[in-house]
Amino acid sequence: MSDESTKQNEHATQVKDELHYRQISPAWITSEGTVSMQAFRPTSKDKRKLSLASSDGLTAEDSLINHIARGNKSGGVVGVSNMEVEMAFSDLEPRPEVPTLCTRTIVRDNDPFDGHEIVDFTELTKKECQTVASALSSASNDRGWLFRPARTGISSS
Amino acid sequence: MTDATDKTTSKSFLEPKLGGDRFVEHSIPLEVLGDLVAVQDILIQVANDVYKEVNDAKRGPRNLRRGVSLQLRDVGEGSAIACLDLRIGSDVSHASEVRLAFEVAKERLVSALNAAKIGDRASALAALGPDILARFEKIGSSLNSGEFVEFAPHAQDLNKRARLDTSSRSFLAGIAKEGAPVEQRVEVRGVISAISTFEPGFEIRNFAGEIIPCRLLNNPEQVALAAQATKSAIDVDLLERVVLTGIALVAENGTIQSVEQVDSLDIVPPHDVQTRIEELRIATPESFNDNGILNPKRLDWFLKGVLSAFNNEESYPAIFIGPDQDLFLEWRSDRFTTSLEVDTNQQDAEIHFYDSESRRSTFKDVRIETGPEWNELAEIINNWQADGLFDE
Repeated sequence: MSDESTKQNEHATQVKDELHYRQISPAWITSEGTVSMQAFRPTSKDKRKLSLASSDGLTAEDSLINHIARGNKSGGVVGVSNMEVEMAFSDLEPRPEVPTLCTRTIVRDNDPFDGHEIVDFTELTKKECQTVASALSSASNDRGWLFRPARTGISSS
Repeated sequence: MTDATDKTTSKSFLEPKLGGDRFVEHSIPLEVLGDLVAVQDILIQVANDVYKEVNDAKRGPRNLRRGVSLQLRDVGEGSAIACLDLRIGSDVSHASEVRLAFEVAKERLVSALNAAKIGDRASALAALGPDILARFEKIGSSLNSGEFVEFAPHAQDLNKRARLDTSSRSFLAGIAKEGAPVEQRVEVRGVISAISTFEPGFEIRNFAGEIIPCRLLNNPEQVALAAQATKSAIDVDLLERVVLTGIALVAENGTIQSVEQVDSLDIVPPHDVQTRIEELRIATPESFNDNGILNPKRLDWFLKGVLSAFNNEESYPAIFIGPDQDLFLEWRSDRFTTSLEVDTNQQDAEIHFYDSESRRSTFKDVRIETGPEWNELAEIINNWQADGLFDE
């Protein structure tokens, strides 16, 4: 494969610096309405890959509706940029045994749906995971909610 | 035709023995006679039913209620024994069948009281049925603590003496009220989900999603407080949590049906620990099981520690339980984030400090087994949250 085609492939899988949606489970929302850093720590169930969704042509509200339609729960949608992800990883102390540690980015894999993206946390130590998660939650909390469904149950009897 | 009574026989139809200080002089206070009248009413009711059962009749005997009575013939010795004869008036039809029905009724009364003595609900219910049992709410109310009436005092077996006392009354009335709500003092945590516009009151939705109506008959201040608690929901899409204490109707399964008297209603701080624990108990009940990370023993330790160490609203942590049954506490300011991963089994924790300005992480392991260790943890976290400094 030529250098040119390799470059094109990279361009095809790595996303531009747009905003990327992260669905927040109600379990990770504080009573003040902020998002816990735990919401950005992928679990072993997620195969240590943080799920995001592309905002390309999709509103945050549409993204939440799609998420719920797939049978998942969401307490709202926040966003992170690729730059914020790159910065979070670049702050980690380099380790020669994990060459990609400090250079990870958002990758669009379109699996299990078109527009699905991941941030790869594999090979990160627990402390490295916490550092990246803290950076991403700080960035998203500073930005605020992109969409949050109205709370139900309020009525005048 | 003349009236038929038991006077011809030496033994009365019923010889209830009354025990207690008030009866030692072989006398019976008038108020206690009222209870014996109530027993007479029960026997008439049951005898009427027995007559219909035995004779396959749709109606009871003519003039039964007016024509049959128990008459106090004598007060015998042995504390006090009320010798009660059964008088069947001449205008009551089928006198012999009626007498038999009353004997059966007496046996059923004795059976029910004996069943109460041994806690046998089914037998008590089979003997008298729920409507009659409900009358034990009042029958015997004249008896003081320690006093009793035995309707079969001559039985050899102490458990067969058909004793009516506070305990048996409560048991029998309780069977009748089975399933009916009882009044109970409660503490309810949740959010105000509605304000009534037609009567003073509101609704609370607890963390299990149950809607509990709360009636405030004469307390406009609490209605105003409830309105304030819902205002934030309209303004900022965030419900304030409240804690209410009062008297509620509680079903046998523990479900609160309604709050009938509100004694206090307070808006709780956003990270109120007790309220959050109630939320988590509903969201992740497995965590609170015997093998859970917050089983009763561990929860007790955790609450003592966290409530004593973080005892003002500003320092309350946000508390989370992760999908892998991990317990996390979190504090956040504009610049600093602190998270604490707690091992409730080992009673230690790892603190993670994150400075979003320098983008630097620092970690520290701490023991939190004792109160002083919890206080030390609080000091470290408070210092960090205030100025980003901590003692390494």
